[in-house]
Amino acid sequence: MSLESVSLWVLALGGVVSALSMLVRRASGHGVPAFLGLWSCVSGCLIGLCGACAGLRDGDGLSSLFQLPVYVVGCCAAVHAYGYLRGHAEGREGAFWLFFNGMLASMVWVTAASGFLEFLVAWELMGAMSFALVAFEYRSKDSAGASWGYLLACQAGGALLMVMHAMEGGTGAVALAAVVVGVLGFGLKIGLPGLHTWLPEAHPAAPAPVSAVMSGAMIALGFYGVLTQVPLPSAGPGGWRLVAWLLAVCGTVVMVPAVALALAQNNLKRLLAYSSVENMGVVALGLGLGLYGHCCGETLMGVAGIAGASLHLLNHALLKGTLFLGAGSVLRATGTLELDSMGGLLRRLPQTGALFGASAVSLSGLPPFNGFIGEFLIYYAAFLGIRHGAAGSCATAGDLAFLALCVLAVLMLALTGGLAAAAYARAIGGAFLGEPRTAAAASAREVAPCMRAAMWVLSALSLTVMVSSPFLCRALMPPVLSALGLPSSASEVTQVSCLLSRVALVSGALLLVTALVCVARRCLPHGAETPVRPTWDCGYARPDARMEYTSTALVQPLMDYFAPLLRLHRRTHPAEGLFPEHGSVGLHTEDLANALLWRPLHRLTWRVADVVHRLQSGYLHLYVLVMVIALLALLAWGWLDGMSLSSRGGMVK
Amino acid sequence: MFSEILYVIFLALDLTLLSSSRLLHCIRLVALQGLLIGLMPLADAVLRSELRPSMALMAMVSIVVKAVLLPRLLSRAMRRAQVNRELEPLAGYSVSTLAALAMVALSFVMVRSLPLSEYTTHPLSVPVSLITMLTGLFLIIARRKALTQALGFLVFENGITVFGIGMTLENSFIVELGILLDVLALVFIMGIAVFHINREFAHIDTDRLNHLGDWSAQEPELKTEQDEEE
Repeated sequence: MSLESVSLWVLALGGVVSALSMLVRRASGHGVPAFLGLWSCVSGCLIGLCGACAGLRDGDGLSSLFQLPVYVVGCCAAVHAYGYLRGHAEGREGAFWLFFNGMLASMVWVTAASGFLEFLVAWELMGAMSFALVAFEYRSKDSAGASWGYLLACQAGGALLMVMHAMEGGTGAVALAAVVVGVLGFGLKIGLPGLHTWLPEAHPAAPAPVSAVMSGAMIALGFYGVLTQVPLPSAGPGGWRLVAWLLAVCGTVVMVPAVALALAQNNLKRLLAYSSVENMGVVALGLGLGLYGHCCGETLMGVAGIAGASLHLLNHALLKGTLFLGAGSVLRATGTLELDSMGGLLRRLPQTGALFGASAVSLSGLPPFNGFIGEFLIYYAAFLGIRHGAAGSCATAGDLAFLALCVLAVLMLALTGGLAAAAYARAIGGAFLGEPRTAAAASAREVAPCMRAAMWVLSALSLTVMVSSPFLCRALMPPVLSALGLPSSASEVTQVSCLLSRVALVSGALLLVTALVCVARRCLPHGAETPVRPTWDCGYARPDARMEYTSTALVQPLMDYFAPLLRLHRRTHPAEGLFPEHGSVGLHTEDLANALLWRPLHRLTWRVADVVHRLQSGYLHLYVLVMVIALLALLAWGWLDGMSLSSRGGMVK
Repeated sequence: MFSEILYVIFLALDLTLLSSSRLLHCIRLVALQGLLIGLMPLADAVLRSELRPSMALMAMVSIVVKAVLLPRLLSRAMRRAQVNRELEPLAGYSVSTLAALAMVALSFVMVRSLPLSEYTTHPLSVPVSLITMLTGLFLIIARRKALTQALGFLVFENGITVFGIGMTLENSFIVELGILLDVLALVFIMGIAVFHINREFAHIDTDRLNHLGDWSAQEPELKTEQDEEE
């Protein structure tokens, strides 16, 4: 019995036992179910982590790569959830742990499934479990809509996968169409452009640890599906090229709108959700570049792209895990997720604030942190693609188009990095800096130790990944490449990891110097107490929280640039009269995919349903008539089929 | 020759059923169909002199249930609901007769090209069973009274049985018993339901039962519901 299956069983049984203990000892409240759920989850994840590390050495590299975030984020999120749920679960801890453990187990199962049918069962189970968790706080206002939207997205994705499977084995155009359908089906989970709209709804509704797992590990599994389940062999060499194109184009297209929407969100978790869409776009771009590089013989570009995507996947899991857990801590401390009703939390939640800030900076892709590494490699791959195109081998229109795509990708990636930094500046500025805007924010206290510990562990792992990225690249790449059926290309892997070691060296040195300076600064005024002073008041005599820039005001100039993309409209209620009491300005944005795709589709569905609804009149006669017509049609079909068969047989004779 | 006569009588019963309005008469026709269904395999076996006890038992059960028990139940329900005639059928009797002719034509034409002929014992069995099934469905669709619809269901089931007899399916004994049990339960429930429907509404017209739903498909009411939601 492998470690993987041991962890699967521990997770599943732990969840069930926890739920049962809730039923048995309803009166005991928090204690028993939470304890059982937490420890089964943590031990299952740790066992599985050992298995995944062993699997990287001598097993299926790809599934081990995708299991790593599940175990790491799952374990830390479970520890966080123990504190997060305390006093807020209304006696339903057992149910939470049942679904949470079940979600982790089904995610592991997805990566371990052998055939398509098993994969599909695991995939749907994962969707169902996470749906239950998204709907866990079902009494809140937005929960119903968000969870139904999520369920619909899951079901639609599953349906597309079945269509893909039905089209498998076709040749030519059918095989290529199967590839496209498969990418769309998994794209619903990943959040490819236009298919991402469930993310910003589901994440704010779900409990924070669940958001952390979903964002860090689950949506990434869509890439696993694209790489393993899409029927590429029947599509021939064109299949890989098509997937590469689709991923690269989708990644390039989705990044900037997603990050612009992140910028516009006032809800902290919605902001993080849009940022997840953007980061998945970055991963998709990296994978697309890597696969294309392998298709056209540019092995270095291929290795750099795939390595960049893999590292960014891991980094995103760690960082977004920290950020969502931080958002959960903030929610528990202040009772709100609206940035404009927080403020000044860094002084009240110093550890949570510091960890959130560090992770946010890192995820913006700024150099000394680990979020930079993956993006750096993807830049590198894109530049290699440009060089490949510019070297004069642009024989076909496709090569020329890919050159243009690479140039565009570099520009978009740069723009995305800057905008992500702005979005996180908004989040940190609105939530942690300045003065508290509400009484709830002013009276916030630092959260429970276990919630902080989970964030500390994830942040420490981020730092580890940053420093050890060259080794990680050298360990990850050969199994991943062989699992993808690509040549192992050892010299290119060495080249990429040498590049990474230089980056890691510089970044490490920078962090070390910064740390030394901080320590020296702390030691210098020996013995003197550092006085705690009020926040700088910008020269106002009696500053008030109402005089602060709101977080929306902070990014308003940037939002104006992207007004058409955000469908920005301003609602102004000017102050009137000589002694005005009320006046307000609000900026409202809307997701373009909702406005252009989903709302019209929704309206069309209603119209069709209205017509079909007339059949449901309550007349038994009508119902039977409809059935008889259907039966007669089938009979006629059989009749015509028989006629054509007999006529063909006659011709053969 | 003998079974051919039986099939033709069966067909004639279908046609008569569609053109008669008296409920008691219809019930008797269906009872007669049940009797014929019991006799058909029996006659077949006697003629070929390979009668088995299980087959005889099956025929007995079938005749008792279909020709005696079910008609009794239905005529009792009819008497208690005090209805005698199907007065305003959704499709009139001349239309019904024309439809019956169309069904006969359709079935005979279709069966010729259905890939079944190698399994059937008798060339008439499949078309007659198709016609009987269509007749049953037609009764359900085109008649108002709950009783006639129950009859339609019975006729439909008779058609299935004729099909089974014609195809001489393996282990048909158990399957037929199961179907028989189903039908028996259904007619029991239907008999009780007809009585209760009549007591509550003073009629047994199923097309007026849709007022029982929580909502109605009529347009204005839908709109007010939507307005309230908004």
